[in-house]
Amino acid sequence: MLVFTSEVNQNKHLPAGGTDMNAVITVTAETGAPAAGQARPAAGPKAAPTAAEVIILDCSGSMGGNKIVEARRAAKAAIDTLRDGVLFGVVQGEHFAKQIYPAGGGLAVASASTREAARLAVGRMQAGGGTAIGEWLLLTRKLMLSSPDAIHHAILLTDGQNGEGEAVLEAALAQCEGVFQCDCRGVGADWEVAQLRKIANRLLGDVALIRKPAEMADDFRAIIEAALSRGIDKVAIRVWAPRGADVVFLRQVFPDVADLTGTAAEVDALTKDFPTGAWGAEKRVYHLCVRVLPGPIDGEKLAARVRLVVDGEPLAEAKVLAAWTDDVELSTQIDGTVAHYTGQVDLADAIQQGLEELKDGDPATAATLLGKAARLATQAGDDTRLRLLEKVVEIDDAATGQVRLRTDVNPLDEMDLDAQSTKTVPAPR
Amino acid sequence: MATTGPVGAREPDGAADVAPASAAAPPSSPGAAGDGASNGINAAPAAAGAVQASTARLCVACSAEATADDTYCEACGALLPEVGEPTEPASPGPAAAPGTSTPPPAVAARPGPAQAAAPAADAGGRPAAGAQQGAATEAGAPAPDATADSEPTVSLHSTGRAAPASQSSTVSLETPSPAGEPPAPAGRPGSCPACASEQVDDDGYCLDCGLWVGSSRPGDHVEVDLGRIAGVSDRGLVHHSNEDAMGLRLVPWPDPAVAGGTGTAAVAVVCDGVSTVPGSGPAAAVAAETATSVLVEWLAAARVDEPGIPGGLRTATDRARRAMPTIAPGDPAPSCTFAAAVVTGSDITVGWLGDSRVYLIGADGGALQLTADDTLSAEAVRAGIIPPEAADTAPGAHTITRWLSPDRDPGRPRVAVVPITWPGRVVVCTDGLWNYASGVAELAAHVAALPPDAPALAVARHLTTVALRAGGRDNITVVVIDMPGRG
Repeated sequence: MLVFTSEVNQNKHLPAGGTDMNAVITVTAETGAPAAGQARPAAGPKAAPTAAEVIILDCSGSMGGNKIVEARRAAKAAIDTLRDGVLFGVVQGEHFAKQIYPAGGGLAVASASTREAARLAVGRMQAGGGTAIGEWLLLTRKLMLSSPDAIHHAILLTDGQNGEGEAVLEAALAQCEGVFQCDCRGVGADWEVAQLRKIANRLLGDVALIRKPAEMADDFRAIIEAALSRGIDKVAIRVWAPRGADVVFLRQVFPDVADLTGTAAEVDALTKDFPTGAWGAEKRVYHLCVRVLPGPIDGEKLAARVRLVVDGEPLAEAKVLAAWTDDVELSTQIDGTVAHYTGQVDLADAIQQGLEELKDGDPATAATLLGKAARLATQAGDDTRLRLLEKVVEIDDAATGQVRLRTDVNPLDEMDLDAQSTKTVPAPR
Repeated sequence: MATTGPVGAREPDGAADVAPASAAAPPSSPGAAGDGASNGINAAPAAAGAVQASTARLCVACSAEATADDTYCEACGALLPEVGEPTEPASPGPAAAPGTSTPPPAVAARPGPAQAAAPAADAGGRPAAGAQQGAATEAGAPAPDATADSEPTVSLHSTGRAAPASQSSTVSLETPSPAGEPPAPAGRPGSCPACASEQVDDDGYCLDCGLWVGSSRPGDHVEVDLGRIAGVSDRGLVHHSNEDAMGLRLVPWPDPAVAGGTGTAAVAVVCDGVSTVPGSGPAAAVAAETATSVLVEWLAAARVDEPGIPGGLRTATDRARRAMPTIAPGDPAPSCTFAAAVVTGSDITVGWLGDSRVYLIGADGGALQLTADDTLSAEAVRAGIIPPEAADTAPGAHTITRWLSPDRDPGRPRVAVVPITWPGRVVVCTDGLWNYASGVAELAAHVAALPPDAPALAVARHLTTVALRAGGRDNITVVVIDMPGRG
């Protein structure tokens, strides 16, 4: 049983007339009995839902040779990871989508025999044709909906850019949102990080580069294990803000950056739900910015009430306050945790924009932005992103952000940096 | 603001003489320990929600205060929320009888129900118990409808912004409100003064506009009525809890002016928990209760011709100091101010530490401040550094230089004895009141707004309301004692 707790970090003090309140909400889901008065148990007497897993493999012409061999191997590894009873299917992606297992629609129930049958089907997959990710997702959706009560998760592997128009992909994403979550993996150097990131963001998954086809199998296994460990689905963050207030943004800031602002569903005039997908035992951190009507000096307002809800049942609640003061010392302080995650998001933006400028042929701006990224990563003690940055730029002085662009950058290093730009580090305690 | 002082004003060795463990022991003085939770305190049934709608009506648009008669905000012109219907009387009638049989409690305003109620359980305060019978007959003039077994009039409102104007069977407030008296409650309990929403969550936040309109903790508004002495302690409009505390009693005392020689002496103690030190609210409650009990004991044992009340005040603060809880060694100990008045037939004896005050308000309109603040600015005035008129608003006006705390030994109060020469009233209060009426003349004018025969509770309620209407930025505690010969 998962128990959710939440914690707020903020400086509640605003100057006279101040409106924008920033707060960081840390949500922790832990396995165990609920502590008294802390949070209620999640799914009550209901049996834990079944997991449904769909593996989507890009089998376009560019996947030929070693890539398709490794993709088949990875898919088999993923299939082997599925516990008995898990629902699963395999989709082959070309310029159309084809269900290669189980035959005849729906999802199979994992067992020794179905896993073996699926391995055989995967072994027959051949590369050829184009890339139509929207089609692949729509077929996946159809399979998922054949078992509506399961926790739905997909892995999407591709090596190239989508051949569909923006609108086609967008329409497919809109239909799939809320139906299943999807982690995206790119292999090789021909796919576009921003495109897969968009798909992953919309489908509450993450994106990563698989540098060597041989790494695929391990990666798939890890993804499946993580997906199967999630016991509660369709968890939403419910934000109440007072009349006259606006949610300026709500973004996840740990373990990676994802803007949730646009995903809100209205519950009532003052309340919105932001879907966060399925949860296992984990910690996620959110940055909320609310614009409230200013209150009187020495007055205090509830700027937002943040709850985690499953089926409308609140699991944990946190309160974001706003208090107006004429004490400048109070109102100008920035909460350390808010500052940390603001820096982490700035770091992600600086990396993505810097790489964009690099592509667009503006090396000076690129160096400035990547220099800023190096400075922020150093400040935060963010070694992972600093190491990735060092493969793209030479860091002369991390403290001031002095960097020089490397001339012989491996394109995979740039893509890796781009894909991992949103992976944040937690705020120091 | 409450007394923000001690931390800054502490002497360097303050942390070194942290009180030993014994200081943390529960108060052992008579009546201080809780031997019953409900004696004497008659907790009004608390309707859910809160609170301050009744006395402060705020403009939705600019937060300016408005009166109940206004339709539009005087400051910005915005349409004001509608005035709600008056609330039910906060104290149930039958239980509310004038100071009668049960020993009157020293009510600690701040802590939760258990703590607030504990000091009331004053079975040990035998002298006081005996006194009450006499007090009821002698001083319970306003509405002597007491039945023998009724409880004393102590109402502990948790929803009671309505309280200052609410009716109680003991005290007649039927007299027309003088100009400036707040109108009847301007909102239902639990309604928001800013947007008139009637839904407020458990922590006191409006479910519509989010404004913190107050929680409904016990202690948010406490009234104690013993007839000729009465007190009101109120959380105010800004602070989330009431860290003020008060204790008041009547003790049998021969009164040469009364035939038969019986009368009462009145004891009032007010403590204001220091807001900068955690735990000061409960500590103030312990201090007020302990000091009150000690003074009652002292009077019971004293010789009438030579009562030595200044000595009693010193004993009271000493015992209070030792009864106050400590936190971890090394942390600043919970602290509070102290102001006490003991009114016998012939003298008023006052003692104080910090910036809580005692005033003497004559029936003829004359008034005196009997205490001299222990604050940085008051010291500066006494040293001739700043002019007296700046004392209450200068930067150090609320930084106290002396206070009551277990790690400060000795917490000796300054004491003054004033012979009673004319009828009037004594007002013992925290800075939550005098912030809004710091000059004696100003305070006297507020008292004079009431009829000359207004009972002590009516005066205490009125002064509390004055502070609430002016903004209520701090906890407010007011104890009023009618002096012999008044009227």
